[in-house]
Amino acid sequence: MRSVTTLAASSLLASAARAQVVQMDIQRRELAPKDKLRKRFSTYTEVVSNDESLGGYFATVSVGTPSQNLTLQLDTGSSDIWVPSSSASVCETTNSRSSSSSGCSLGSCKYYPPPAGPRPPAASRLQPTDKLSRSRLLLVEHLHGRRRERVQHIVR
Amino acid sequence: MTMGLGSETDIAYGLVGVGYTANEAIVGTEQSLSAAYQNLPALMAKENLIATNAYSLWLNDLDASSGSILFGGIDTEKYEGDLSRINIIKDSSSGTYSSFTVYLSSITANSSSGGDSLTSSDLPIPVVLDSGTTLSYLPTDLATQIWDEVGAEYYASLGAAAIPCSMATSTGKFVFGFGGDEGPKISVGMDELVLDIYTSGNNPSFSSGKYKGQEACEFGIQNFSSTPYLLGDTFLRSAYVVYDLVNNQIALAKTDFNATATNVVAFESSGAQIPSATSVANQPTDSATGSSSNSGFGASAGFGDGTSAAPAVPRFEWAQVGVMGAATLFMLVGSGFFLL
Repeated sequence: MRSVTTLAASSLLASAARAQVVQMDIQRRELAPKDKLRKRFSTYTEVVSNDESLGGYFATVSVGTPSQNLTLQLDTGSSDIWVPSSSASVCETTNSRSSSSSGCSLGSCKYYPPPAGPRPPAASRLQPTDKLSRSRLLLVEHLHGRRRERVQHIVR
Repeated sequence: MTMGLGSETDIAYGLVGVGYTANEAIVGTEQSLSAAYQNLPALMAKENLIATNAYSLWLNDLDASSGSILFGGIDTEKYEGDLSRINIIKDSSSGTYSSFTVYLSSITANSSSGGDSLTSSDLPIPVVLDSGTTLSYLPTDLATQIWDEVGAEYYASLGAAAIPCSMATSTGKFVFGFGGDEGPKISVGMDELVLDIYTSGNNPSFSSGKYKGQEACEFGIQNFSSTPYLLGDTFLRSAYVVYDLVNNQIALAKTDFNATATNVVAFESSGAQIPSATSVANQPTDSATGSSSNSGFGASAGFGDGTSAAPAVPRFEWAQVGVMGAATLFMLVGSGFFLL
């Protein structure tokens, strides 16, 4: 289409003559082999410990700032991560400050001596963004003499 | 990462819940699915740490000190045979996927003396594959048939069915079939179903009844009178379970106990199907469509094999009432009281 080409050429020349610059960027697109471009997704393995006295499988995770190591039960039957507050009554009754007795010895529920200076309230230590006001009924197992209690309970 | 703080609780440890976001506490509290947040596995997928919201659970056997959860992949060295994938069932009241519920279609008791396919009008049963529950809970009808096979009995003082600890070496097993006749079948041995009552110290002894004086253990299958029925750790240890929260499927295969080799295959993209898993045809779509018939307990005697216990008392079989004389009938009702 000779006429169009001429028109285009003349308009380019015209703009050059007026010292305007039309910049056309071109990008070189490299067509790499498909394999190289395919993102390789990772997998993550978490070892869970079989705690027969508590009747479940537990993962040790580091939570919060400053971080605390907690041992939490891996539960495909629920969908939230939650930790007991150090001020929960079960911790007060079972905790003996030596941290060697009962489920609290797993580190999920410890007594923290007040640090020097202003102490943040327990709730903010882990900076939860979602306050649980009611939780799914958890069925846990109860047997006489067995440490793990199996009762229906509600976590607040 | 969103997590909750339990200010009032009666268990002294916390949880990592990895289920559907629809099952988060906040959804129940606010009665709204839109209140859901991205929980751990959902967040991992969203942040492209893994390709898709899926993970595999390998609990290994009862005596193993640990198992593993593999986010974003499967490990082909941790199971035997092939993975079969079956559909997760939606929650009937909410119409959403909120729990790992699948159809348990069949239970067969196998031993040296025979195989009994247990029947119940409750089958197929919706069961939740729940790692957070120690034991397994089936409808009373099926639970009592299983107890009859192995000689377990319910003790009110314990609040559970108990069995002599010597039965842990029984060579009998139960095969759980899922997703219809063509679905995966998982065999569970008695070594996974006989648990210490006290994990430190000695178990109590039966103080009366036919097991008087024998060490008492807890049986891994208990009864519930209503849904949800649960297959907990006593079942899950025997299976390699892949949870796919995007395609709403679960794949099952027989676990490879104490496997040491590893071959991780990652899910390759968001929404990818479970790798190396075959689909299952003719899966059930309703529960409780079965019928009850008298399947007998031919396998029961064989459950004594491998144990050092005295032979089990002959079962009281309704079918034989008209045949056997009253003098040879043994009542099954046990009412032992534990020395705790």
